[in-house]
Amino acid sequence: MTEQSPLRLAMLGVLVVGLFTSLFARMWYLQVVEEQRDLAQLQAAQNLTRKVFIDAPRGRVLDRNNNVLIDNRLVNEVVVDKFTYREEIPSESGQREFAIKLATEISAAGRLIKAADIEAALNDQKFGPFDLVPIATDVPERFSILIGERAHEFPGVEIRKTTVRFYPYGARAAHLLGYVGPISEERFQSLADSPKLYRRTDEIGEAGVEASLEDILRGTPGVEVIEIDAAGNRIGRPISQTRPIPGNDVRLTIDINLQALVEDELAKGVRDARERLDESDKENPTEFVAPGGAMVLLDPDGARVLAMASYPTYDQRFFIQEVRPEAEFNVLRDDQNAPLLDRASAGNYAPGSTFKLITAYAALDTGLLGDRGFLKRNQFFVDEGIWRVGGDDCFGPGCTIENAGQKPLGDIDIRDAIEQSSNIYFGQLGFQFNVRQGFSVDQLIDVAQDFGYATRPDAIAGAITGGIPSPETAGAAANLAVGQGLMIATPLQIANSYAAIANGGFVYSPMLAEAAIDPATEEIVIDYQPRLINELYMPEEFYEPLISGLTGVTTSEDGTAAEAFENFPMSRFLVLGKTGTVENPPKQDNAAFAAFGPWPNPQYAAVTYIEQAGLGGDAAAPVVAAVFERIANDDIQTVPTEAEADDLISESEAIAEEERLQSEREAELEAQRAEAASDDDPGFEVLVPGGDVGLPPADADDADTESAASPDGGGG
Amino acid sequence: MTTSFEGNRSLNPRSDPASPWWHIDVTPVLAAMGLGIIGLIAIYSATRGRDPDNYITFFIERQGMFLVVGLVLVAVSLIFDYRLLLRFAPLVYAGNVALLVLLRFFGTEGAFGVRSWFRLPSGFLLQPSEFGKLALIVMVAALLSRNDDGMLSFNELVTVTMVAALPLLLVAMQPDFGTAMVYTAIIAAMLLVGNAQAHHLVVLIGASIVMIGLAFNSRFVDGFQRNRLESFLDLESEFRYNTNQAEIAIGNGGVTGAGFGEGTQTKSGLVPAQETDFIFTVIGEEFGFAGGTVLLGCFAALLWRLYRMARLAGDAFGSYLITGVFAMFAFQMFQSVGMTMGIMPVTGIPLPFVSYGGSSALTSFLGIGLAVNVHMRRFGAGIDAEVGTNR
Repeated sequence: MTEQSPLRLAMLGVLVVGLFTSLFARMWYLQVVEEQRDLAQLQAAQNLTRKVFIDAPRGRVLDRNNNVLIDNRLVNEVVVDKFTYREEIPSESGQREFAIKLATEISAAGRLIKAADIEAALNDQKFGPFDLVPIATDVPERFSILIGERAHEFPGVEIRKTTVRFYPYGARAAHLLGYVGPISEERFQSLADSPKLYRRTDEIGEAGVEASLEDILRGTPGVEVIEIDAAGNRIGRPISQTRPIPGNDVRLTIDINLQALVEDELAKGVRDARERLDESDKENPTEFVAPGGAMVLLDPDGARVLAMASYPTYDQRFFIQEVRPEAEFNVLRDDQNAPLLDRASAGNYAPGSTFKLITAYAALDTGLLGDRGFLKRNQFFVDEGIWRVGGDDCFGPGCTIENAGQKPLGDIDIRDAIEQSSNIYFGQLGFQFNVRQGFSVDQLIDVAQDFGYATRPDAIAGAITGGIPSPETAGAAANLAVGQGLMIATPLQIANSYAAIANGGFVYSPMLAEAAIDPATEEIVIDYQPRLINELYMPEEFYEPLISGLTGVTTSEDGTAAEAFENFPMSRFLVLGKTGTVENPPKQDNAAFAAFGPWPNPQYAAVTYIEQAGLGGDAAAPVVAAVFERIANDDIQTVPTEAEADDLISESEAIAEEERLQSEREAELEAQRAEAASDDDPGFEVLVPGGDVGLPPADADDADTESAASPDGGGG
Repeated sequence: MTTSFEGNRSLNPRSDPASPWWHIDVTPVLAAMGLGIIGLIAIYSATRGRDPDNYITFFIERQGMFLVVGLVLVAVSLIFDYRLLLRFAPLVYAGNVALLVLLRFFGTEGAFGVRSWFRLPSGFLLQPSEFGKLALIVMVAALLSRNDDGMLSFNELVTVTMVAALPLLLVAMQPDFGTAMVYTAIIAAMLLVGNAQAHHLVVLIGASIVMIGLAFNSRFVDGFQRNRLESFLDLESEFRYNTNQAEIAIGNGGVTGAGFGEGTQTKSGLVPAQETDFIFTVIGEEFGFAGGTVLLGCFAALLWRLYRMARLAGDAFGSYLITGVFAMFAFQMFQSVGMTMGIMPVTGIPLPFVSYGGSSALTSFLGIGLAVNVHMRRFGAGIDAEVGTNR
């Protein structure tokens, strides 16, 4: 008789009761505990649907006369379906081979790309395992045909249509217009709640107008919510659907013709500066380095930016490639002349003597020049050419102030001091602000801020704030008054302050966008208004000496810019200005010139700032003079778009074949071309790294596009 | 022991209270049918497809047929005295081992190179390892019942272990680790109830753990299997996807469920093997906590009756048989349901009576038949003596 074992069986029973208990507990946790259940139900809902985005085109950018500066163009884009690709080519060596083969074929079709860049894109973590990874845009049709024929060799490779940014005027206004680029992870996170529905694979404005007006330009993608099964197949009709809303067009305050003029004149000014000799070291004269410069042209009414140029520049078409060739990008970024830097709004400069006008106004406004001040408003002061700040009590740097060439200017009042740019006079004012009972150098700083210095012009992407550090010593205060030392200002800020002088004391925040326009209805969605940030107290007794001094600079025999305006049609277009020569040790002096005209109804305020180019009157003033002269003579060329320029050439070729029939028209065109060629300056330096990164071949007449791969090449 | 009413014999067996037919316990059969019906509903939901005008009924028709055949099998099996099995145990066992060996050569190769099925004419797939569970139970019960003097001796233990290990290894090498785990659970439970000595059990458990460890580092376990087990331990693993989706489905059901045919996870096919191994997700999603409770309630009733039967069995052999069946159902239920809720690793084990599949359904019903058979003949006198004389 076998002994049955109720005890052992009971143990088994208890064990099974334990199993039941744990199943019930787990079921309770998953299905009854509210938090868990809600989470699961949310995930289940998400599981079932997919959002399909339909891209909305980005808005265009127009100039003030509705010339299109940035457009969209439909192109072929090569994408790789990551899932298929990984399924078909699981091995690392196979993937490498695939990248090389793909790069070879795309390049052979006419769009150069590196295998390493393709590999990097395919391994980019921002694309999920089921995403389509963009490899190259603007790929010639030839490649689509090849893929159609040999699809099995390129698993997952697809061609789709996409829009890319297109610049009808080529590299014109590159810094101003900026570019779009792939959105960064941080940026994406910060935009997670944006109504514009950003995705990780989207592009976003990275610089210039593209960045500052991102909100206007970007469209809202359409969203289709579809039901799917586990294999990712659609089930039935979309659950919901919104249509894509194209981005709005933006009309800028820029005039592309003025912009082209300013760019060309600035480039010429920089090149001219490089040819002049720096004779500050008499025994050993060297050529000026003049690595770059900037020019700003404003409408004083509202501080509308009419043109803004930075030199050297770059070709923004480089950035439309989705997979940016890193090596070439690094060449641009690391170039010692910093072509990517917008010197006009982000150049780190001291304003130099152009700042004296601010000092002059501050002295008048605070009463330092006044009945109870240091000097009466029109009182004369003896300029001995060199002055030791505060006698023997001064310590620290900048205790000796001297005029250019230590030239004594003798008895001068405020007008003469501006006209001849007396360092002694204005240095003395700065010193008096610092030491005089009831005055403070902070008053000078406050006035400068009222003029828009140390204030970020928020309409311009990438613009810097600059700064005016409070001077610690009497010597530093004297230096600040003449615009030297630690103060940082941008050419845009200087131009803006002169615009305020020109319009009688109204300080605006610089304005770049004029209107946002619905592309379909052409209706103005947003009408941007000038933004007044300060109204300065400017009675006639303040204004007259300032204007009188500025007039002297360009018209009087002793004026520091007299030479540059020697042959200028002043009777029709009176220009008032102020030179600046900024000490920049150990480097050569920077040249600056700020001006406005035509007085008495100024419509233009301009600043030219050229690095390491010597005297402001020699290097910077002629550039402003050249631009103003063309404006005064109403001689602004209409710049052709690149397509128009091409048309001119191809047409002329066609005409050459039909000489007899269209001889008249040919002659006319030839004349036009000859005129264009003679007026066209040798051009604006454009850095195109690697030369042929997918750009249309530069045509013969387009002298504007010079390849300058070596950092200090080109230009000459 | 009971007395028989000698003078009152009738052709109708039910007229004799001592007749085994008086002692049939229908509860486990009813519980099994309950589970089978729940299974039919769930299978239909999982397999009918998306076209309302053209729902697929192939799977429930087949499963319904399996259930009916299963019931008939139970009825037919009851005619034969289970004690006959004691005599035929070696034959059953040898036949099963032979099938498992043949499988290696003639089996149909499934996904991941697994050979678990014979393809029969008419399109049925026969899974010998399912029926093998019963063969194993019969053989082990027979061996254990030879011990009639208290605790299991070392020699007896070795014999039982060796005999049990052969089909276990064959199944593990298919490779089908899920079923191998069921075999292990059955053996362990039967050794426990079969009076294996405590220290022997401890050693055996230790040895099993070592063996599993070695197996996982050997060439018998491919990366796929390993990943599935590792994913159970590692929450971030890609292979946790299935479990994740299953948990979402069950959570999505909530307390009362989404309703028949309304489970979005079920409909979208995000959970794999929904009509077989992951069938509990369908029940969990569409009938919620309530539905899950009913299902587990059926299992509880079934197991409770089996437990009771094992205790009341007329001889040790019968008791061991029921213990084996009990362990088989208990472990498969825990594994199959637990896997969908993330408390057990993912292995392909059907939920008895519920999952779609003929081999599983028939095996389960035969298991029930075996238990009922033992139970109804518990009053047969001198079973052990009789067996003893026949040995």
